[in-house]
Amino acid sequence: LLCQICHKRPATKYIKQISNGVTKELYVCSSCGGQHPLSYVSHAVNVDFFNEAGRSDILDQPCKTCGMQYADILKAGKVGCPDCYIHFRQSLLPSIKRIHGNDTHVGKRGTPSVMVLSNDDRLKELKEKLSDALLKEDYEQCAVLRDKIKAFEQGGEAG
Amino acid sequence: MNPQQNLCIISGRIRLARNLAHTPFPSQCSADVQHALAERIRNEAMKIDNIRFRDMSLSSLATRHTAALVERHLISKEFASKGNGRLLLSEDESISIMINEEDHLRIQVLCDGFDLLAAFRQADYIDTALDSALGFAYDNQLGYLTQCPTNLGTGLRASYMLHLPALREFKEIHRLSEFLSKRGIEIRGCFGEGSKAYGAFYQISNRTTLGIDEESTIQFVESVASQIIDRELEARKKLVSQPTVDDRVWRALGILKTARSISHNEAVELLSLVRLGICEEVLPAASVPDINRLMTEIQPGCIMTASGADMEPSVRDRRRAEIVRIGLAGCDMNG
Repeated sequence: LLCQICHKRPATKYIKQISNGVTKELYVCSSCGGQHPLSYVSHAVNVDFFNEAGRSDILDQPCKTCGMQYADILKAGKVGCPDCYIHFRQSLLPSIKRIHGNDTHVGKRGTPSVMVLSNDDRLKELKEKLSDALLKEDYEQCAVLRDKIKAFEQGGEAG
Repeated sequence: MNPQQNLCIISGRIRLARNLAHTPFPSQCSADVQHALAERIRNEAMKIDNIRFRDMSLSSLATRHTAALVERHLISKEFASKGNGRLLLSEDESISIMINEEDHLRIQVLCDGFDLLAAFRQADYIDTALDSALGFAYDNQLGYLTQCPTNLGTGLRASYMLHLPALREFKEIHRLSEFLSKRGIEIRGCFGEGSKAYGAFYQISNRTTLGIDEESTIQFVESVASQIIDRELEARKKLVSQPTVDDRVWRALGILKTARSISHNEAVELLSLVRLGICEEVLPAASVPDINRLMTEIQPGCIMTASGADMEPSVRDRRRAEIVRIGLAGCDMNG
């Protein structure tokens, strides 16, 4: 599903407003959702597009290694490279758990191939999480994230 | 496993799916990149101690040769259809490494009887050697990272090819398949699917690869195979006590020893009856491994590769009949 504002990026948020008995609904990406007038986003919830909850990865950004978008993965049913599993981890985990009845490897251990996020990516990710928390009106989580962003911007460890 | 149980096993197979870290999967790579990857993997595989590989580019092989490799379970159908894959094959043909299949590498080891653990140790040895040289994609939570999420974790597929004529005769396979499916085991016909599994040859394999370690997977598949075989042997007792079975077995041998032209499906069906007859001592002693070898040799790609030429189906059917007659020449017709 594409964002109904920019018609380019995959929609990751569902915005719903009930005003004078009239319901308005909009599916937007996190970029457009953030720019949208707040008056409209009076009652917004993070929707569970793929029947999954708790996604924290960046759905409208392609995998840095192979350029695959999350929408491409959904269409193909396959990822483009091993790093896609790390980039889209939170979104893919529920399906993986459904396939195997488990989401944690046991057995032979290899060397973890770490995909390093740049500082910009990490900051952007934190800001997106903050925007999600705001929409959910989870003020406790907002405070935690604001502290992390502040610490990160001051050059500290963002966790 | 007693000798009678072992006779129900045609072969065993271990397969490990592996990929190079931070590298797009083959389907996302250009032909040039795939070629460069194949060269790198090949060069490292050639350095492995104690195993000598023959290096084969599928694009340089005749179609009949590629078909024969599939028939002998040395490569997958998917790999054959890609056409530009690279195959490393050990001298005794028990080990094969498919490069640029769905994943960058598919390491496969075949074994004759009930010995999947030894086959796994061999695959594990190759895996460890290549991992230290190439760096495989691995994640602490998801294990070895593979193109299809169904292979995540160990990337291990452990399978047995079984001969189950009595269970098929009593229409038990469908029920067995449903039962096993719920427990993470897949069963499918080797020649044709479902009730049309010619010759009643079936492959069973694990489906789950995440959250179960390698040895437990193998033990599980072996335990399931052993239980299926016990049920097969029980069903065989009932089957051979039926008055018409010896007649069917002898007639099968008669046709195979005299036919001048025979299709693959018919030959497989009749050889299956002869194999049953030998195992259950309806027929005089003959070698089951010889029958197994014959089963391989009579497949279309194998016939044409051995003859060194492509053939029309009708010509192939005549050649098949000849191979079968020669193969069964030592099988006594005087019961």
